[in-house]
Amino acid sequence: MARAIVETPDQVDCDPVSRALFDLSLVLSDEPWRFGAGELEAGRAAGLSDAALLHAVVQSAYFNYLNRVADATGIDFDYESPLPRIPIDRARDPHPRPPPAAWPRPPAVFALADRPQTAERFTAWRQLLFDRDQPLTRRDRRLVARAAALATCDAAGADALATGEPTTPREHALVAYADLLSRAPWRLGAADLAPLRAAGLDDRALLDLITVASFQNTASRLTLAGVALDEGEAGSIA
Amino acid sequence: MPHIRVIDSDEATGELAEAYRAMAERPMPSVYRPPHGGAPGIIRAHSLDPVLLRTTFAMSASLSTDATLSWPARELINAVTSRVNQCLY
Repeated sequence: MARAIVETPDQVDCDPVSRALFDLSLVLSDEPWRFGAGELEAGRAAGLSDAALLHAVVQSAYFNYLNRVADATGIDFDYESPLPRIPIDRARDPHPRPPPAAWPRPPAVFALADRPQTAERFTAWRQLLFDRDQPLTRRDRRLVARAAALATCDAAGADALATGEPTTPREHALVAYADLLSRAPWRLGAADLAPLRAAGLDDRALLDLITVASFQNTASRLTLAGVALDEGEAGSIA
Repeated sequence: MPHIRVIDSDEATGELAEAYRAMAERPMPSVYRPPHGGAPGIIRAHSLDPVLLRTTFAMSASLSTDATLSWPARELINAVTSRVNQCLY
C-alpha cells in the first residue's frame, strides 16, 4: 500500500480502517477547511474509536509541521527506503481558498487534554515558540503565525493571533514567507529566504520563522479538526 | 545543501551534543536511523536551537509511545500527509 500511496495515491485499494485514516489525513493536510463530521463519521463507521481518531488527527497535523520544516530548511532525505521517491511537481498550484466569510469555526469535538502527555508537550512547544523576544520579536511571531492561520482558513486562530497588519518591508517579507510555506511548501527554496536575509535575518532567526509558521500549520489543523487545544477552551465537546 | 546552517553530529558540542545524544537513545524502529549514523536531517534542521529541538521532538515521542494507533497506521498517516504535501520526508 505504501508504494501505491507514492505512485498512484488516487487508486489506493485498502481496508476500511486504512481508507478512513487515508481520507482523514488527505483532507486535513490538503484542504483543512473542508475537514468535518464526514471524516470522523467514516472513521467511526470503520471501527475507529474517538481516541484513535484524535491520535490520527494529531499525527497528521504534526507531520504537516515536519514536512514544512523539511522543505523550508532544504535538508537531505537521509533515511533508507525501498519505496520510490515521491514525484514532486513544483508547478502544482495550491487549492484556491474559500472566501473568509465561509471559513469554518468548528465546535470542539475532541480535547487534546485527553492525551495528557501530548497536551503537556504541545503547550510547552507553543510557549517556547511564542513567549520569547529573540531573535524574532513577539510581534514578529504573531504576524508569522497569523499569516499561516489565514492561509489555512483558520478563522479562530487568526482572530486569536491578531496583532495588527505588517507595516515594514521586513514584516511584509516575514508574512509573505509564512504564507508560501503554508500554501505551497513544495515550492520553497533557498531563494525564498533571500529577501529575509536582506532584511537582516540570520540563520537562527530564519529557523524561528520557519518553525513558528510550521507550528501554526499544525495548530490550525487541530483547531479545524475540532480539537480543543487548551483545557476550558470554548466549544461544545460532543 | 540545506538552506540554513545545520550543525552535524560530529561538530556538535555542549547542549546540542547532549540533545543529539538524548535523541539517539530514544527507542525507535531501525528504519528511522539513517545509514550515516548521525542525527536524521529533520532533527539536524533544528540544530541552531537545541532547546527547540528537544521540545519539538518530545511532541513526536508523545505520539509514538502509546498503542491507540499501531505503527503501520501512523506510518500510513505520515505517508499520505507527505504525499499530499509533495514532501520527500
